Amino acid sequence: MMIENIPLIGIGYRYPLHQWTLDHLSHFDVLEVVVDHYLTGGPTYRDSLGTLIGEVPMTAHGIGLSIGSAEPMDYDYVERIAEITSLIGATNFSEHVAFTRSSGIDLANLLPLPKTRETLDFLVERLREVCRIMPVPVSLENITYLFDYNYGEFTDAEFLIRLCERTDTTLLLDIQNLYTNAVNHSFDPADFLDALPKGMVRAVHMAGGTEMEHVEIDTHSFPVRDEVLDLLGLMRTRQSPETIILERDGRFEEPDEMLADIERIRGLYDVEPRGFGHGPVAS
Amino acid sequence: MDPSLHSIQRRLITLLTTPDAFTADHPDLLAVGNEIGPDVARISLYAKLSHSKRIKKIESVLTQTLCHLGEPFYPLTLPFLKAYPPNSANRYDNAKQFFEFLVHRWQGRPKDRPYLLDLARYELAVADARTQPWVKEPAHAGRPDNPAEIRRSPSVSLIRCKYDVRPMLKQDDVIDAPEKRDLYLAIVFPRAAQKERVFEIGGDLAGFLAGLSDWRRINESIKGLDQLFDLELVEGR
Repeated sequence: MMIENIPLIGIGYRYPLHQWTLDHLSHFDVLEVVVDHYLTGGPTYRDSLGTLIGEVPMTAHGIGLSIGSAEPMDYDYVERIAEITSLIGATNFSEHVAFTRSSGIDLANLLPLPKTRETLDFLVERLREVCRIMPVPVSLENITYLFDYNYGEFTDAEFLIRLCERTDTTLLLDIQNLYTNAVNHSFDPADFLDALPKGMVRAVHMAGGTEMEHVEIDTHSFPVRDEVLDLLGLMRTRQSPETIILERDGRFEEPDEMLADIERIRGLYDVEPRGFGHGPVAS
Repeated sequence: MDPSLHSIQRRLITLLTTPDAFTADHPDLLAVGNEIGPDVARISLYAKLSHSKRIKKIESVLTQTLCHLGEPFYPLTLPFLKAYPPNSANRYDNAKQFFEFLVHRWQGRPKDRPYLLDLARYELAVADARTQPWVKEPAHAGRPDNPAEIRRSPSVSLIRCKYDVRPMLKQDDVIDAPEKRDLYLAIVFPRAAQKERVFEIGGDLAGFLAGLSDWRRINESIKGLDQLFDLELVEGR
């Protein structure tokens, strides 16, 4: 019988919401820090985040690694984000199974990879290097894909399972992304969840998307849909993540929507805030 | 490294960063679609969404510039994409690319509103100053243990303008035509500040500070300084 972790429930730290985060810190058990924001945000960002380091547990999340780019890896970048991961005291580092750049062009947007044996072998070698350098365990996130390759050999779940097993990593399950892909590619997300071995999901992302041109888009800027919350409940029957992070990348003028979503997630797990953040912190 | 994986990534990303991808029946889009999958409309939508995201980054840096540019901005974004595919996720880098595009397109002199490039130059300098390290960090140290060397802090941006665009950045004033005059500005983001501080400085001082963008020996630097300010300097130990 799987012993369930009581997950830490929190949000992704975003500088535009710094003061709001400080004012509501008692609602959050954990903050997820995007290491690339720390890298490029300058002293203002770093000083602001610095007021929170040590006040509340943190995890590290990357967006710039482009793990799937079929080019030499930027070891300098990996070492820098490893340093930041240590600096903030993160317990875990996560990145996306995707690529964002090739041949000097950086789309800065996550692109899918063909789910083939060749890609798998390539990613395994790449990830072993990343794991060697990272000071904490590594989790891999599933991304959305508006288009897929017609020569893939695996389903999403099969590919991710093989990748995690061969690299001794875990899954950061983005449930909004799973929902988005299920809608756009007409598959049952429950099949994906059923396929995952118990214990594979170390962390969860929740977010809200929108529809555009009859396609679901993972804008991460709206409240969590009921269907996505239902999937979290379904996942809970087989997985025991350590953290559940609510992501928000836009519509920062409505931050209280995030509080409502945090309460919905807490309601599903029937857990109160851990009380790490003891009210407002002086900035 | 698998050549086929690299090849398809290169072709896909090249296509997604050109305006060709916005046209659902463009031959290049159809060719890539045939190679990787039938979702040509989805590939096209992805290209538009990525482009939109990039433009929002540029708008977040060049806010006033684009406000004053007005309607001509959006039609410019497609030739911009064609001439300057993205090479960074960073807002500043993308905004700088758009600035370079404008300089090239207008050949340094926009037809009307000739102050626009100075306004963009100013907003870029503020963005640059905001993200530069305030304290000396090993990556920028040069010779960290050499007290005989000085440099200008990276968090100080220097620009030269032909128009005094400073009043245009004050949101409570509506300025249509800034004063035309040659000026040098030093833009600083003090630590823990939420807003930049801007100093108008003389041309000679601007030149002196510009020469200190990298570490230089003090005695070499001071040779210029005493002449600049007509100072009598005594060499210390």
